[in-house]
Amino acid sequence: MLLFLGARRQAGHVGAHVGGEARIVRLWCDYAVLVSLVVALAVGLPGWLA
Amino acid sequence: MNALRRHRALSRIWASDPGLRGWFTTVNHTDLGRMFLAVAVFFFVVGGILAMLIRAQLASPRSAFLGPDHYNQVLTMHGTIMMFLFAIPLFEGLAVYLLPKMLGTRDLAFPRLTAYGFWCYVFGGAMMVFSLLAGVAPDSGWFMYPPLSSTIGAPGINPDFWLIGITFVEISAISAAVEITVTVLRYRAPGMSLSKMPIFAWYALVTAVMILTGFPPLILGSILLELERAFGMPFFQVAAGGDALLWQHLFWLFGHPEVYIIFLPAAGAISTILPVMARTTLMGYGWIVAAAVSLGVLSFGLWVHHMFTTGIPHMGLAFFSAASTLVAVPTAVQIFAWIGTLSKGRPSLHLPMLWLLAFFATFVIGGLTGVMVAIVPFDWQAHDTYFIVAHLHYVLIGGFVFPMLAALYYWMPHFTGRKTYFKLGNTAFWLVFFGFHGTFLLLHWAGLLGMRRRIDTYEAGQGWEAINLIASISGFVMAIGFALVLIDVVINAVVAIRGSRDPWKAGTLEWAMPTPSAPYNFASLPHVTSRDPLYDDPELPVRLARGEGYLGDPGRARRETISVEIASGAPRYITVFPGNTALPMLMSAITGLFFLGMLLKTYWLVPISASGVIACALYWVWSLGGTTREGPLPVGRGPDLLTAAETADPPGWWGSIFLLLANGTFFGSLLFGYVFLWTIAPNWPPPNFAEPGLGIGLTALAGAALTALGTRWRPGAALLFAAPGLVALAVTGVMTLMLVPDPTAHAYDATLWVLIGYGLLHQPWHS
Repeated sequence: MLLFLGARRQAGHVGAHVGGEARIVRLWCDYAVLVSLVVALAVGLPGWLA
Repeated sequence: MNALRRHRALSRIWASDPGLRGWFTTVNHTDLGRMFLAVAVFFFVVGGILAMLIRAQLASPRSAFLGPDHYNQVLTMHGTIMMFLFAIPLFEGLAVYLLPKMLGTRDLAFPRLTAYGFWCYVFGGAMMVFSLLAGVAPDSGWFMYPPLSSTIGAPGINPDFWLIGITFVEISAISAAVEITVTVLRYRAPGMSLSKMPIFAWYALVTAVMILTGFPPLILGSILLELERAFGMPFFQVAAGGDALLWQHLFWLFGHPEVYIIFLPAAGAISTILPVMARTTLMGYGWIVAAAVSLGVLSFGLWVHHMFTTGIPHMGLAFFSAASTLVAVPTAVQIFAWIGTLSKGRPSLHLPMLWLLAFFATFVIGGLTGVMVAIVPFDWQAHDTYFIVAHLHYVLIGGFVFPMLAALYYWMPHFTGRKTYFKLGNTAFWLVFFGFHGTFLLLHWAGLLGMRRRIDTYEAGQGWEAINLIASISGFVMAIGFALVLIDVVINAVVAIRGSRDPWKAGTLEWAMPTPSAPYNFASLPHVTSRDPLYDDPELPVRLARGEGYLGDPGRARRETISVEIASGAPRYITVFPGNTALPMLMSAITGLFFLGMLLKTYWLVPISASGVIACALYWVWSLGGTTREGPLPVGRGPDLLTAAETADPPGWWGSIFLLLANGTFFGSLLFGYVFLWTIAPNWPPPNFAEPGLGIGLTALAGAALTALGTRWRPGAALLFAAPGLVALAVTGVMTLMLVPDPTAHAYDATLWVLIGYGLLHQPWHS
């Protein structure tokens, strides 16, 4: 998504420059980060509790 | 520009391609709505034929009309088709067709997504019907409980058709739900604040949000069960740390909201049609909206009442029993509001009104038997008997099919532009009404006499013979009634007797256009000041045709509509819609190959087709927006507006939010499964569980920080920091995955594989 957004910016797409598309990409990236942290917690929890 | 020239110019811009090509390239909501409805009716006929086979088999004891194997397939497919391929798509079709017209806009928020969802529905449905014709249809019941549906109980391909086919079809439901939610919130006529929305739009909004949060648990359950069947990951096997009850929880987390997902659109149609038939306005609009929202929320707290006999703790039984009876309150609010509307108006007994009266008589009985089975001791007695079969048919046919038949007759003049001339519908009504009650009223007694559901035959001498014979004869009477409805619709659609524009004298905007509607809906968009714009201004249709509303000048020669602020309905920006394209159909066909590869276990096809879908998606998004800043543009009334691409909250932002809602619910359901198995299953986690070291944890934290900061800094930093951050997260995922032992050995390891795999599906894709 980030690479794709960069390519659209290079190609001059208005939406990629104005900020709307960057906001969408940031939303999905934030979700990916949240998922990673929660999964890490779920994987590590039994070990920490033990 | 006069009205005729405007009509011609707008038709050139908005029309679908001519001929056969148009069927495959259309993205127009009117065409797609009709196509959705036609395919849903086709599946209703298929499901109805299966119902008749069931009744033929059960008409007499020890019948050999269908063998047990065929009976199981017919029974499973009847329920599956009616729930997944008829009821939900019928709502989608009605909403796709009606919403833009009722809301005073020109199309749905994402026209290509509508087309993609439609073709996924067609291809997925075709997959299911093929399994039936090939004699390998799912046969474990429409609820697919393991171990009946696991490789132990069903080693053949039959359940795979269900698990993969239904997941494919559900793409359609999720697409439509995103579409409907964003359309209702952002694509309305200027001035149409939330409190001035047509009541049907409120119901559609609640239903769509329920689909987004109700379907993901079932999609997850289907994926887990398919992983168990295909690769031996033992999520539902007690001996390997799993639990078959996990499926029941995931299934009913979907299944109970599903009942309201089916009922609420019907209630929306009732709330729209009833005041028109009573020649008055709706009583208690605010109360009805509150009741619909309450039902939507409460429906997610009731799923366990389908599992009262599975050994739920007493506290749980008490809670879910109380919640189940509580749901009668918002339902009653609606019923009383409708009765109040009838009492303050002057009801006329047209055919839609007859169907609404049939709804009242039937649904109230179904609701009351629902309260009976919400009481735990009664449920223990009636569980898995024909009492439940009778109850659910009273709710679903009374609460959905009857109102939808009212909707059919109410909006048929809109679909066809023709006047209803032949009166076959009245005869059909009485046949269906008496046939239905003759079938299902008696089956309550069969259940109370101990007749278990899902049995393919029964012994004589238990007092069930006469009931079943009468039920079967009545079932065929009902089927003849439905056939007459179809014939009536076809005749009335074909016979060319032009109707008037607003035959029912309704006040909502879908009647403010010539019928059948032009592809652009409104020659210019209205400014709305009340809930029933046509009652306030009967000349509105003429003024809109003259171009006196918004966007009445088609000079820019592209598909334009206006997006509004959510609460106030103030104009916000101009959305430019894409033109006709076969891309959605192509993408859904490639998506079908993905699912086919999994079904036939030709796994080489899966990554190839997945790459094809991603390529289509990239092309799809690349073609959005333009490369020229246009600045504020005139829209005919009020201040000039920017195009969506030049704003910070384009439609894609809102679509992403609601897609993420579904995605997040999927992830939440997965976490629920993890916690459920941890607390319920013995030997969890197993002795040799994976323990990621401190290095992996710190790398994950660093990756998370880089990503979060990189996407918030200046634009160039996203590639410099966020992309490596996401790659770091993916690397930690892969390293953790390598620590997890064999995922086929224990449900704990299998669950970690799915959790980490879910994360890995997100990180590389986002970089």
